[in-house]
Amino acid sequence: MIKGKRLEWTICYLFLLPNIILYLLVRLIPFASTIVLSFTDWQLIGSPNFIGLKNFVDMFNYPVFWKAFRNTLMFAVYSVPPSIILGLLMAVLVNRDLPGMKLFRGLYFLPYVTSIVFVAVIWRWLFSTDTGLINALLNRIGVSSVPWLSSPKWALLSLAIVAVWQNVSFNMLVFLAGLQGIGSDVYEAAVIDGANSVQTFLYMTVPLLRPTMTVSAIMTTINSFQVFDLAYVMTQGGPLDSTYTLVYYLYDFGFRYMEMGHASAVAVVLFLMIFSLSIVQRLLLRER
Amino acid sequence: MRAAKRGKTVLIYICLIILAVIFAGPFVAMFLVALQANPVVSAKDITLELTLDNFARVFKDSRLPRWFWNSVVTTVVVTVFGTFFSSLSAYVMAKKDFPGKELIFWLFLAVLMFPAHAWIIPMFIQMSRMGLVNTYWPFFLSGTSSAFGIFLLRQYIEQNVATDILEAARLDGCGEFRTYTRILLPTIIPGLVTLAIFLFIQWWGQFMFALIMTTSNDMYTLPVGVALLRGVAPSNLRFVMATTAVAVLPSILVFVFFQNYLMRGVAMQLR
Repeated sequence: MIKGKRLEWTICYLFLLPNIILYLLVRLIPFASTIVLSFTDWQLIGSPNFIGLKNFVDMFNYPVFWKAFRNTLMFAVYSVPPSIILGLLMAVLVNRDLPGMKLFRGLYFLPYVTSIVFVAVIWRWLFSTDTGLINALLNRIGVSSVPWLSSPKWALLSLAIVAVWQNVSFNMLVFLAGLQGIGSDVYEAAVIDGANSVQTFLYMTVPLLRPTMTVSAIMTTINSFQVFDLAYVMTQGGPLDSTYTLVYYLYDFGFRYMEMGHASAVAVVLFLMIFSLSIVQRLLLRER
Repeated sequence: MRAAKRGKTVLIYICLIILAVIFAGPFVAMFLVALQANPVVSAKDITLELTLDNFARVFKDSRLPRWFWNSVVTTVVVTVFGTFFSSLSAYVMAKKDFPGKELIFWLFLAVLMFPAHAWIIPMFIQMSRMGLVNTYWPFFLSGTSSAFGIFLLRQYIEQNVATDILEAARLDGCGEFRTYTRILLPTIIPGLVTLAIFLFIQWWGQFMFALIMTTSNDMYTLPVGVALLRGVAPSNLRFVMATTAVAVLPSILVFVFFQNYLMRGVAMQLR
């Protein structure tokens, strides 16, 4: 009997083996190394020296770090609330049985399945100040050109618009699943009580979906903290560093200046930001 | 009352169509530019004179075929093995008891929380030491385990596979691996397809990882190749858009054919 159990356990471990080996190799050991590296001055050549917290102190003294930090937070502020609110409104809109509804949902979902890089290449042209489609359309209806990507005032906001365009359908789908879980009897009761659609939305849909909204907001925020592709392709961090983000900073230090120690320190800071949000999310999910 | 209801339906369709223009319009614009017969410098140059020549040109005169091939190899291997490894782990996590299960569960959960930048620097160093930068190996090693996949399939197995069936198979003399291939896998095909589509979309579009792990033009995947096209003159816009259109098309096709699976998977992410 004991022997049989042993054998069964061994088989279980064999099933888990590919994942465990790969995780140790490409996730856990590298992750631990990131933390170790963040306390060294390693530049890829020579041997690393332990320098304590110097990378972190340096980083906190660089104005460009704070610029990147601020840009990252502002990007979240610009992109997360619209993504949640529009996602919810869209979910309410598409949550009905009308002919062609599946097609519409599918169309809204196209940006989400498209790589953010390809999205960025398309929007780089759409948003181009002198040659882009959007300004051409605006001019036609008498609105003067907007310097979408060429002005430091507009660039980060423009990237946020693209981010919302790309991920709002994810939130739509999440809320749609939530709405379908609520059940129609609740709504029928409300209609019988004389509630109109705005009232049912504000006093029933929103409160009932609040837990989903919170979790969804945290996920969207975690993603927005990692914005890099959009900035790299559309603005290269400019103009005047106005779209320079934390991941961009990490990329520059790690893979252009080869300052592996310093880049690792940024990685640790970013990780802590995201990790704390993940913990909150886990706790909320468990509460449900 | 009837008229009011019809008015509401019309209003809903107007909203739906406006949204469709917003979300699908940029893709239409991309294809429209990609098909232009004359050079396009600005949006005002777009005409209805269309041709497929631009596609022929980018396939012949750029590295696009090579990038496409790199993307196909990395994405297909990652999708197939990622789904396979995840199903192995998910099966025992869902249906078996063994010492250390909790610990392994937490390990997977922790991995799920690691964003790419938390491990990519040491991984790049390791890969360059082993001479694996500019090969497919970083993709294979990094992509073929998916913590999300393990959780998705574990949940799917818990909800859709009765323990009795597995027990019955074992009493009939099926070994563990045979039970897995003959009984488990056929019953969880929808879950496997959902995961495979997720992995496909994720790795077809993978950018920062590919940018770091490839430095030679010949090893670029599509996202890297397309992103670095930016040096070209604006008059080449139609070629840039043709290249992008080719890069976008596979994910659109996958989505069109497997829409239901994908949408189900998204909903499962938050449970």
